[in-house]
Amino acid sequence: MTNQTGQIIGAIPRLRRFAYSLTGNTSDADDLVQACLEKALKNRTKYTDTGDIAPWLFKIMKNTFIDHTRAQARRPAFVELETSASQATADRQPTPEEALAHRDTLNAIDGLPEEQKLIVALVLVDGRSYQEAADILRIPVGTVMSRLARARRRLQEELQDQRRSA
Amino acid sequence: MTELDISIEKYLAGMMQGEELQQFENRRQIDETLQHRLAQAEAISARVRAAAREIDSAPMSQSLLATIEAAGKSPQNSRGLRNVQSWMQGLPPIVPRLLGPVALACIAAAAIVVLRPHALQPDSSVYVGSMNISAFADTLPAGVAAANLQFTGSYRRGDGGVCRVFELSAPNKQQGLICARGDAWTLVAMTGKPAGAYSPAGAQSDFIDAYLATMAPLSSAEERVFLGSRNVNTQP
Repeated sequence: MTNQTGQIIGAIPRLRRFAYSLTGNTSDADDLVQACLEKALKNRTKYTDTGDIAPWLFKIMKNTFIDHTRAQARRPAFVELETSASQATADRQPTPEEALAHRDTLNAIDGLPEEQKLIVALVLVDGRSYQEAADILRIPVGTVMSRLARARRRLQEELQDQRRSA
Repeated sequence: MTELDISIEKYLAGMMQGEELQQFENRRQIDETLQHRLAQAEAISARVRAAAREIDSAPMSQSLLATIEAAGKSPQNSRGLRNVQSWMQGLPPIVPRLLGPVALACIAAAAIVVLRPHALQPDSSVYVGSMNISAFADTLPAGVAAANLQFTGSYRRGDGGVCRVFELSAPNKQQGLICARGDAWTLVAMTGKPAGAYSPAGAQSDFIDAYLATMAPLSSAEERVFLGSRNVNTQP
């Protein structure tokens, strides 16, 4: 096994969070991670940098996600709470209120346009800098900032609406 | 979208400097709307991060686990085959023609067994040399040595299954990762030289370290419970 393979496997927890914020459910997230992993492992010899492998993996995942969403009709934004609750096995289970808040947040992210969703996943979920996100998405830093500002505003409005309707 | 939106993003990203930063900080002290907007933006960031971390506690899909484990195993398998192929390429050109394809296939199969002695053992047992690692994996707690074998840790995967790391002190120092699938064990990765085959230093141990980082270590008590559940009919 190559060193790249070790790095790829080591990045899986971050890839899963990234995929989860894009898809909103664990099953689709793991499918996306698996597709990304298979592509990365197949092409690992093409990766020659010695630094952090994550940006390369995020690029693969971004392309896989875009290909997937364009190939298939969009799934409904609604995600069943029961699915998430039955899958949680951590030592500290989220409280019902926290679980509901997470569902609301994921539903709100799911309602964002694809371009904003990717920025949210890279910057807010993985903590990438604006410059890194710009490099991964091949867009100017200014575009990252404006998309993120729009995404934040939209999430804020969406979550307020959900609170009102609840 | 307003200029203030962009200023807030720049500020949160730490991209403001010098006079621009000073002016923003001054405004923040007195402008309640700005204070509110910053608080909202930070709250959204925290909420998104928390929601995404929910998946950390969700089990991985079986197919994803299989892909991860295959990543650790397949290069070693193909390395054995490559060694056989290169050995055959070293023969005089007349030999393959004399032996014929069927005989070559038999030699290749025999060579793989020599390179990987456990390759033809029953699926339910994992052998390294003559040692049945899987039988010990069902019974031997971490930290307790049995001959040249010792388990150094037990881990729970996202799907609830258990993996165990072992070390062999002889004939070569080797480390391996073995994972339970139902009643059977699978050798996921192994460091060192499998019976003389070439193995690049560190590659398999990198995989083991990386894979373990995706799992939760079992406490001694949890490991005892696990071994108790495995130890009904199995003895090494």
